[in-house]
Amino acid sequence: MSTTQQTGPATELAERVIAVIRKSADKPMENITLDTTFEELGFDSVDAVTMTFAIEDEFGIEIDGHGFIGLKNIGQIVEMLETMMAPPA
Amino acid sequence: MSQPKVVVTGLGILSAIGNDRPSFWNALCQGRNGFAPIKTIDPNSLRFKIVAQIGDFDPRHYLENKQLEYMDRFAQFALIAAREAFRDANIHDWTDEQRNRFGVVMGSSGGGQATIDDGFVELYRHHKPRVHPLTIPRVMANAGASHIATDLGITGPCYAVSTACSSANHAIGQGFWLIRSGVIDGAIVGGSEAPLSFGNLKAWEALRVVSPDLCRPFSRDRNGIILGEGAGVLILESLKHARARGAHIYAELAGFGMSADASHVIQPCSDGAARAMQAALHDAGMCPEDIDYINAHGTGTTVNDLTETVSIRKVFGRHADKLLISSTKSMHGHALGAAGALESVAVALSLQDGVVPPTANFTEADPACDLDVVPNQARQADIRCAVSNSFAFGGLNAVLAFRRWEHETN
Repeated sequence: MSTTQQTGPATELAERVIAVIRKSADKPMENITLDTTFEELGFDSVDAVTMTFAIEDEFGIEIDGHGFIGLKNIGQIVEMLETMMAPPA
Repeated sequence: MSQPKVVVTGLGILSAIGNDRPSFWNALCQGRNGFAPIKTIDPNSLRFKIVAQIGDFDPRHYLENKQLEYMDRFAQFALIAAREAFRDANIHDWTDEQRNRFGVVMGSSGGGQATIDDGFVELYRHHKPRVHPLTIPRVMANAGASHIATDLGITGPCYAVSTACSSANHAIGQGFWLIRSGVIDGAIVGGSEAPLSFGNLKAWEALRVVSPDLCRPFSRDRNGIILGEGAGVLILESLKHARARGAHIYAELAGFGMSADASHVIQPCSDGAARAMQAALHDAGMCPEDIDYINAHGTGTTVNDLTETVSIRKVFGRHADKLLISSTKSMHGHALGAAGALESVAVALSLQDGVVPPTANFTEADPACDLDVVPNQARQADIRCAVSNSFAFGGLNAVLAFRRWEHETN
């Protein structure tokens, strides 16, 4: 099952991502889940860049290219991070 | 009473594709870009490696040690390009009164970035208790303008304009209006930028708008800007002043328009850009159908090129399909506060020679950017009037309108 189909944070990683995003949101958001979209959060492409920066800081990683620009929801961020941080096969 | 005409009588350039006017123009006409891995910084310390850096540049070749002591790289560029433009205009033996009636208006987005970086390295990395005593005069954004005035003995109005990527167009427009309103007879105008210091490059890296490989304006696969450095300088004079001394005239600068988006600090707005273009045409007494060529802002980001296309369609309607549009940033890179000056030099030479430089590195048409962007090959064209666009972060737009100089009839 894809992470984006879940209705709530299932992992510690997801909870940390949501905590970072909650801090970036304009207004208090109670029910942020993996399905919450950037549009619902009121985020534009510039917010996607600043969010990438905040997540890089939180996890001590470096995300190449355009970061989270082009992603639609929080689940996709978590998927990206899971892939990046997976131990080598 | 009709307003006095203002003409371009001298050009000077320092850029990644040429350290003087002939080599710059030659590269533009060949569609040759100046992109290469950065030489002055360890490329492994950056996510992007490619920049448009001036090659074979030794400031000691141009300037005295005593001058260099006071100058950041951006001010060196400004003065060297201004000297070339001044020589090109062939102004000499002028009186104190003539010097008082000449001005300098130069644009720069960042001022002395390398000097700031050097100072911070001393303080924070080497833990030294002090920075160089000439840090302040090197950093100030007006250093380029001030060194030009001092070196060339110009004693009229002299100042700098800093409006990010529109700096040079705002500066050129200000100088133009000072002449047209009769405050001065001539001006040295343009912009200079030296943004390739490590700290500044890290700031651009964080913004995620820099291409990892190539600047491809208006192409479907465009993926960002390539940062460039350099300076462009134009000598502007009232037609009366230029004629009195038998000056060569490249083109007429006929109009200037400005606007503010008042919407978003970074995201461009097609209405704001359109209003600046309309203001420039109105100021020049031109209608949209008079324009044959637009030197686009054309940064190569997804959003800019799309928004600029929409704004051009808003202003030019069906005539937009007859326009030639190119982004020379595809060759000299995005030189930020110098960009509009490099592009104005290109436009003046386009009008004189009847050649439109191409949008280089073009790979595939984007249906959302459905204008004739002169892909990859320069084009000979009968261009009468041209517009040069600059749109800046902060939502500040500045557009210049030029007219071909008809030597026989004027």
